[in-house]
Amino acid sequence: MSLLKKIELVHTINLSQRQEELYPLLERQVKLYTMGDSSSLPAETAQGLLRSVCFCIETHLTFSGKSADGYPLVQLFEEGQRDVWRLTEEAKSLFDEAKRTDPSFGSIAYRGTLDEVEIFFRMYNLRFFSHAIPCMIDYPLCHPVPESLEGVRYIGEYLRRLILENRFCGCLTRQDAIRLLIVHHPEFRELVINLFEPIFACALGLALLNRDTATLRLDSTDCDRLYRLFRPWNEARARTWLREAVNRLCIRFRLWDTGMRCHLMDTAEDLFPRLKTTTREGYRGLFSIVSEHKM
Amino acid sequence: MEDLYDLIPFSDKRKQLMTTLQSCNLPSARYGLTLSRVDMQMMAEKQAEALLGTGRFEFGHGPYEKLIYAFCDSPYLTQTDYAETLAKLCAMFYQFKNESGEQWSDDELIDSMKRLYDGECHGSLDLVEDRLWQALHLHPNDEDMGEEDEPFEED
Repeated sequence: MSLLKKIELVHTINLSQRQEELYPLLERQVKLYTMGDSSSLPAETAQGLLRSVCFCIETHLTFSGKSADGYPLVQLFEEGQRDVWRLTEEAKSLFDEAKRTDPSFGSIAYRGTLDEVEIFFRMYNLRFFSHAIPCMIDYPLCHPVPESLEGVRYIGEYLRRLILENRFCGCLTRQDAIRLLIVHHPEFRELVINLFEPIFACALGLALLNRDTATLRLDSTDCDRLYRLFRPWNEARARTWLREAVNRLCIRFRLWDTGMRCHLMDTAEDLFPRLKTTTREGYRGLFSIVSEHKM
Repeated sequence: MEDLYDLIPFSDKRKQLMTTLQSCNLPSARYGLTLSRVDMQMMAEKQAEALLGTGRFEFGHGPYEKLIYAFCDSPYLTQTDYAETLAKLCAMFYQFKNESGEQWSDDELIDSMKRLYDGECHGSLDLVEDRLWQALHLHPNDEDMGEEDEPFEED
């Protein structure tokens, strides 16, 4: 589906019928971009400039809640550019917070991604290619950012989710978390894997058993208990238990904000199919057993 | 690329180009060079082909106006091959815009083409193309491309 069609569908704006407004806008951007040196551009560059114009318009429509009807596109575009600038400043603050909350588990992918985000802010061209993401994001989040987000909106959302993961991991001691990650995968530092998920799963398992979540220690007996807890499988009951366990985690770690609570609840919901179908043995992998004997 | 193709008002641009070419007949007529309606249509077609072939989009009128103003006083241009030469120069222009990776502005490129065409290439388009390629790939730091050599000083 073309970009214009996508924007038209989401914001019920008929860009095809507003070509006489959109084209001069693009022409203006081309003149600014080439500084009058060239009247033609390679197709990829021209397409990039158009995408950026559409991205700014779409960003403004999304954040202002306006309907495009009744507003000149040039106004929507200029206000969109201001929104993109504001989002970039916000993303920079988020980046600072992401660095501040870095749990320092030694993951190469994590470190590399933070370096790349720094490159993003150096390379990001919000005037002409605001839709672009000029960096490589390797470190996978537990809940990936939708591919439909572009430019600084993608980076901002990525950082927002990363901070939530960091804050949760920061509630546990680094030593316990690393011990668990080594059990999860001995080469976790070299692998491109999410580090929050196994830590959360273990903490959730402990919360389900009403044990101290901060220890991050589950043994095979605990896993058997968890397996039996969900057998026979009852969806409504399982959902209630997971919700209660997430609440216990939030209280234990003093995580009161809605964003965090929703994030943890979503992560718990993601475990749902695995809790339902995984075998007794599989539960041990799911909750990353740290010790065979209770400590 | 469908968005851009949907967006660009090709028919309006064609009309604008024809008007521009028409208006260029006035200065070039002083040198005995004019374009007929058929020539103009052929040139518009060739420009569209060149753009398609090079994968570029034109947001202005294209290089014809500048090419005509630059080349109309060339001693190597005749009425017989005037339109055809302009069409070839236009194709070469877009080709070298790409080849140069946007390093050369429109004016710089046309200026170099003209100097080469009138100078060391003696009206040969193949040679102009060759010299431009050399300038780009073999002597990228040579800024005086096509400039006349300093007059030889005898002792």
